Amino acid sequence: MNFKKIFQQLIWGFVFMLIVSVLYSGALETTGKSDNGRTDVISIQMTGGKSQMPAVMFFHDLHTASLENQDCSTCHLKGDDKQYSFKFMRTVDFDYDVNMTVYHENCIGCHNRMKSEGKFAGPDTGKCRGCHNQDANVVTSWANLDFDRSLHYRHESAGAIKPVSEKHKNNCGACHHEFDKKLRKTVYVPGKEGACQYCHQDVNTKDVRDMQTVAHESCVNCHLALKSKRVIKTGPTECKGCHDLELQKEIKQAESVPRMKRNQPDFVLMAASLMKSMASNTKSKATIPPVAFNHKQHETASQSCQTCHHASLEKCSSCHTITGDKKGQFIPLEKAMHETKSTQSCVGCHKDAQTKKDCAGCHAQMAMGNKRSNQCNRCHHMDIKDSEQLPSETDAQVMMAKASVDNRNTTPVIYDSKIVPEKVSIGVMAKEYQPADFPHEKVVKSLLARLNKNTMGTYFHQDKYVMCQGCHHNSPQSATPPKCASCHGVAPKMATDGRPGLKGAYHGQCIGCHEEMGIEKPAATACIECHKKKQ
Amino acid sequence: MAISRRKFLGWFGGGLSATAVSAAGTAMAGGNHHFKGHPDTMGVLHDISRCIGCRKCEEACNRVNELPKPEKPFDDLSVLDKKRRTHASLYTVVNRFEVDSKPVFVKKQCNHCMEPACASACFVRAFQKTPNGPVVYDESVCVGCRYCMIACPFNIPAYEYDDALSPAVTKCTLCAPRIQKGQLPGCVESCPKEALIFGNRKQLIKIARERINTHPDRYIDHIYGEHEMGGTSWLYISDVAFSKIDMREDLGTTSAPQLTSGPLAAVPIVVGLWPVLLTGIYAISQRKDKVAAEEQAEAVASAKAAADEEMKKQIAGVKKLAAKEKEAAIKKEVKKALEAVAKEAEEKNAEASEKKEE
Amino acid sequence: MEQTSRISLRPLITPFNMILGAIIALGCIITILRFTGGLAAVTHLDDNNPWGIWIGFDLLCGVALAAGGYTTSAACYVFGLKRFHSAVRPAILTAFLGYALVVLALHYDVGRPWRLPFPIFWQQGTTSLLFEVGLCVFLYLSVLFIEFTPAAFEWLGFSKIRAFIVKLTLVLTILGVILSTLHQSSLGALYTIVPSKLHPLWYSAYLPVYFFVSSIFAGLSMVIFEGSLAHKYLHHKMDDTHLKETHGVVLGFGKSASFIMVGYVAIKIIGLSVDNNWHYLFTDYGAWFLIELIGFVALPSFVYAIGVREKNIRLIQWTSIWTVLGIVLNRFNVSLIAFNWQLSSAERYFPGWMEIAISLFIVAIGIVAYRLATNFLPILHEHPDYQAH
Repeated sequence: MNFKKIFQQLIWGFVFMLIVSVLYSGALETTGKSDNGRTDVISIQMTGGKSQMPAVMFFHDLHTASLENQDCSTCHLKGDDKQYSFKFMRTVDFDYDVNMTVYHENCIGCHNRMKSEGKFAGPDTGKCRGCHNQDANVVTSWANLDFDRSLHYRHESAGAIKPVSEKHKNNCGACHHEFDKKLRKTVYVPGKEGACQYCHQDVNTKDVRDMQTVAHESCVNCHLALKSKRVIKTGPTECKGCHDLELQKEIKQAESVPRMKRNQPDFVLMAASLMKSMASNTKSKATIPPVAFNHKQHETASQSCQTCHHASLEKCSSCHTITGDKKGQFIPLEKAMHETKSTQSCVGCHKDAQTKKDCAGCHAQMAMGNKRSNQCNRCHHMDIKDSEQLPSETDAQVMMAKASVDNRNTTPVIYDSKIVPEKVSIGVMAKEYQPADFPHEKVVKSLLARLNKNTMGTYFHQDKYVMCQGCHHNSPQSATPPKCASCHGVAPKMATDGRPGLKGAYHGQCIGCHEEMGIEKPAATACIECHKKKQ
Repeated sequence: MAISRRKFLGWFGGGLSATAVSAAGTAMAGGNHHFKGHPDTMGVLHDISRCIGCRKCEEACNRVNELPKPEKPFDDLSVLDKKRRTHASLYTVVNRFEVDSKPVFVKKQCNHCMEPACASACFVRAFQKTPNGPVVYDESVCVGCRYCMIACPFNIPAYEYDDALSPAVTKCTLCAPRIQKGQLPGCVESCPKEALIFGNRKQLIKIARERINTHPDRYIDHIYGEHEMGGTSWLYISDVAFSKIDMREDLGTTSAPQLTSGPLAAVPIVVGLWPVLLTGIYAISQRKDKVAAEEQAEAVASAKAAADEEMKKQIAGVKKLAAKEKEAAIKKEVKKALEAVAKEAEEKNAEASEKKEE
Repeated sequence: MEQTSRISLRPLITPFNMILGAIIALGCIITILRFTGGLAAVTHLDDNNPWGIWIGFDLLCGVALAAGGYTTSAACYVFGLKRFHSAVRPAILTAFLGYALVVLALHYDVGRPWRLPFPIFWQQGTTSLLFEVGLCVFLYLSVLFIEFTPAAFEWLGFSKIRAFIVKLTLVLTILGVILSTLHQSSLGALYTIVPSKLHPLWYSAYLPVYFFVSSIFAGLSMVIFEGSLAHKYLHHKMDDTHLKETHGVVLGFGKSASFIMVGYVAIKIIGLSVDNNWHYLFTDYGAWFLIELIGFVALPSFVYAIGVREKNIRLIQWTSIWTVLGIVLNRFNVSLIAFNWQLSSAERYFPGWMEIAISLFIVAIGIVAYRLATNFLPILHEHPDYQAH
């Protein structure tokens, strides 16, 4: 029994286990810790290097908050134009190695300095993965800021934002510019203002820098400058001020936003194929009646021009040609106008409007998709049959479109009380419950009131009995639509197609409408509120 | 180990016939056999976006199956505040979930799988998937082992733990007797919103697909139960993600019987091969022992023979030596005798000469 | 060997026996509660956790630890290692008692125990692995019973029947190995039906193989362990052959157990690799899995090897307890701890005191039966009339 030998071997075994468990617990540490969602996460990852380190998830607001007594110049240098460059400690990007040195020296240097002063600081020398922590599942709740018409107007009307030169009466040039490729600098061209994203997109190119850089450079620098001048109402300088969802909701909406002046037409005559043949001097018949588009009214109905003019302020058909073009991502004009799933198309935006609580009661239960062809003439109704009837001058086209729009019947929809039954007693299935007394007229009146709230509702329901189709569906429009029981059978039976039985039809229609419209009373489960129990 | 030809043939024949008898049943060991389900399987489609949590289905189930009335009545909706599961005499439950601050209601009950785990797991075949859909339970053979409860991936079967002498497993029956008569299951008939519809399973899948296609903005593009665990007769479509309403999306599409088919298939192979293997090892070890014994005997014998040889040689040597010695001794004696005689003669001579002098 | 002709009860009143008696008495009371109040009156079982420690310990551990029967008899009769002969009868006795008690424990767990013969004789659910388990356990219990009877017959003096059964030894041993392979692996295969409920580190298509291989070294370790207990407390019942062969048994079984455990660790790692479950090792369950695999299989395997090399009997005996605990841990993990791992902690199962009491009750009956058997029957010694072996 050689105890010594056994003892030795057990010691070796123990040492081995110790090493293994230390390594293992180190691995355990890296199991993800998730945050509650921050808006200020900036992912710093240099390209072009051979390093395999994960990106650094930098929390900007955390740093600005903890360095509250210092200003941006702690980390950001000013360029020749006396504006901050929001790159870190540099105005241009260098080589990979130089960039890396800039970051390491300044970040870790500052942390080391603060630690030596006894203050709390971030990871210092050697704690690489304290910063390079992309794998640690940091949750970002950064939300894009929608620079809508209200926000634009508040900037436009701000006295603090001065015009770019005495020549100009307005201050558009303070932000809007074009890039002169020869002079390699930005110049303000009046009348050509457009959204920033028309040029500034996701990546840096030779002529155009990316949106993230320019937005912060332009916006934040201006806000900082105004703040230093003690201007009271100035924009945010912290990440969360613009990019936090909750704080975005608190951004003040201007009470009445006047129309933006950009020489835009009040009305547009949309006749792409006719215009095309006109341009090539050939005569052609109209394949479909052109559309008279009320541009002025639609400006107030959207958040900003970009809602429809998503890539430029030109007309849609310049990129979305009839058969499709590379400029328009090969999306043909028809799809650009009618795609139900996109909010940039006409029909898509109209469909989106149907999701409002006032409309959803009927519309949510209708099938998605634009299969109902009888509604085309709501838009396509200009009486132009061939290209000869089309005026060549833009102004004349606008007048023609205006005339067509003015001719439209937008009187509120009303029904004669005589044809609308006041109450309908539904007793066809009374087994457990007494017949339900349905307040038909009250419901119709309520729906009409919601419908007539805006021109879209009024206009699209001008056909006499179209609104009735909300409930009296899948039948011809009439003042006396068929009873539900005509199509929905009473007896409970096996399902052979999607059509519900009468009980399901009534409850599905009524309760479904209430749910979509957010009507809490009567509650879906409050059976006796609609029909009392039989004794 | 010597066995007679007769014995060997007897055993072989016996083994073969035993295998044949056991294989005479459904022997589909492998290959690409694919059970497409019974064509007339009925099912129920549950449209979760329609459910309002009124619990009329629970009430109907209780009534139709003549189950004991629960503590709180069915119109008491506070019961939905806590998540429930099926329980003895509670074949189905409606649960409420808050998803994106909106309430969502889901009905839970036996899904009547196409290839049920409970039927596969039951060692007395107490569960049976009937051709027209329901998975039915036969209480008269149930031993109460509760393996079905272990096996069910949806955690549906419940047990009457309180009953000492006749505890049974309880679960939804898809109202098998009612649908035989052409009636609807109790819950389906009572649902006011037709959140439950009953019909041919293939047809229900078509209806579900069409509903999803018609309202792509409302429904999640997935029919739960179409393929899960090999497919279930109870299908679900929903307006919220299934994982948020306690419906597991990680169950996979392999049916439970398929999961256990591997181990089960190994059984006859073990029965066939192990006797050969073990008898072989026995035979080898016997042979090894025998050869070892023979070698030992041989070694002993040769050692003995060598020893004998050696002994013989030694004896011969000793004999020779003895003979030599004997000769030497004889010589010595003869010499001694001669000397003695000579001496005697000399003495006699001396004596005689003395006498002459006188 | 001397046989006591008159049994004096005085020496039976020891503290250990008092405890055993108390457990058995308590067990009897709980038995009455079980069969009058149902499972709810006695267990913490519920709809989410239908199997508790009566399955996890009594069935799974009981069957695994009773595997000494087939391993020892296979070693002696099939592999021809005659030097283990004296270990065969105690191992067979343990196995027989073990399986018989498993069946007894099942009578408590199952809802209608009088129907236990149904799956074998009335309606066979051949798609079920539990049917496999039941059939093979039933057949194996019969085989064990037959293998056990020579000892009883020697005591009773039925030499002709005894001789006949002894002739069947090889066939019974081979049958025993076949049936044991089938039911040990089928116990593991029971859980292949629930990949969604068993933690991925324990769930594998290889579960049957894991259970079978671990049953081998479980049985070997149990034989060493029980041998060490018998040596201490039943020394007076052992004959010279038995005493002489003991060290050989411990060393030989220690060696083979060590070797088989290495193979087990290897196939466990292969299983991890095949399912690509490495990332689970870095979770809490992963740490527990490594404790089970490294701490209770790999390490004892290593220490067994040391013990065999140093011929350290004590070390091997302590390691056998360690290994047995590892087997119990593995069976508990598969059936109770890693099972239903996704449920919230409020929905998890913990045994009630009465369940634990019944499990102890079963073990106590086993100890009592073993002592009675070794006292009266030629288990630890050879019967003077039958020393032909």
